[in-house]
Amino acid sequence: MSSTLAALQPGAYYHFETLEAPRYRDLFDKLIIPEDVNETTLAGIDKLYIPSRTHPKRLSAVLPHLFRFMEQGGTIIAMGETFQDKWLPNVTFHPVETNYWWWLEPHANLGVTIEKPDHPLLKGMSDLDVTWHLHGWYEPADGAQTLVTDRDNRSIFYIDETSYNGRLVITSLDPCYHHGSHFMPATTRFLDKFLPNLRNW
Amino acid sequence: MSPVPILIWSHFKNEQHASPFDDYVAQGKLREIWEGDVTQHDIEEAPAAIITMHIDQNRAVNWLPWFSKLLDRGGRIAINGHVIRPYLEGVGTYIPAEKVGKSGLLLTVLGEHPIFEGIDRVACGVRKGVAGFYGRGHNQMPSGAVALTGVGPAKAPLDWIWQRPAGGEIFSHAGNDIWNISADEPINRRLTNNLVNWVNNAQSAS
Repeated sequence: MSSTLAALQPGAYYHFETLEAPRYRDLFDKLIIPEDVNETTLAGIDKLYIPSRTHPKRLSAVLPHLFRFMEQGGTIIAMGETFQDKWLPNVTFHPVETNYWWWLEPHANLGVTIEKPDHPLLKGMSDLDVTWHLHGWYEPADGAQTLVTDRDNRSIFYIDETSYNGRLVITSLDPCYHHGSHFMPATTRFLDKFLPNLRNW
Repeated sequence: MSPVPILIWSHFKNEQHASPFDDYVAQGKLREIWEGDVTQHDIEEAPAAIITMHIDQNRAVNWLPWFSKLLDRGGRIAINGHVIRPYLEGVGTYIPAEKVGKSGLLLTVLGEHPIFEGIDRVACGVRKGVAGFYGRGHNQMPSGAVALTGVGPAKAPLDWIWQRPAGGEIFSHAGNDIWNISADEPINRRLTNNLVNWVNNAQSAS
């Protein structure tokens, strides 16, 4: 039996398209408005997906509840452009200037690589499924496992299972806005595989 | 001091990048408010409002009666992005344009408006040879609204203006925030300036 998966619902149009449109909505057991995060709303939830572009201020306001959730064994998946270093301790992020147009260049290759193709979160995925553009890289926490790297072998997706009783997944990949805006097909390909994998993890 | 138009923003603004509205705020032509801090008073007393595409629509839908009061007094509201939870009376939900190949997202000028003064919209519709960044669909128009920019072969009303019978005007741009749609910064600055002038010219009764 798969464990329960909830998502924060920050309410921008692309969040609706990702979380509430028919394509993925059945993968989520519950959607929670960020300001409603508390012990009661998180009860019975195993994994909490925080979609791209959730404002750090909205997360800082409920941080004690998020910590308690992880201390009780819960998993938090904080996606790109949630600016994890602004609301979580022990996250070191180095932003890079985003090149949105790299794919127009001849023989273009962004250089993003899946390092752990056998990890259940990345099951069935290829490098092309994690390739659209880059926002930055991390210095992963001690003991963290890097799943995806950039061209310079720097972590853009890692799992920290040592800082908390539960798990913290951190990535700079930001599929939600692009999928929800009906462009960048790679972001839809990513969500098509990643969200069911996450559901079953 | 009389109230000035408000810009309701939502997303995290990287400190490294200045807001395109900084100068207008400094000049007293605009007041920026983060969506979590918006009050009934802010909206009802403002002569006009600009709303980012990133707005939390679960939150904004509760502001609908406040926006109506702003408009009833003759105010102006400019919205960006896709409407999913209609937060303005009369404005319908977003419909994506049909995908019909590369030319499917080209723009057509359907009407003139001060917000587009000095702007070549057809050129804005293509960025580095790729169409779609300006917008890829439309928010459904209320009866009586006038289409300004069409997208795709059907010329779906990506931009439109509505003079409400009960007062006030709504400008809808169903794409990326209109102050950031061009790769050419002078064009973005011109659009920003036109937009700020438009909201500052609202004939709002105090």
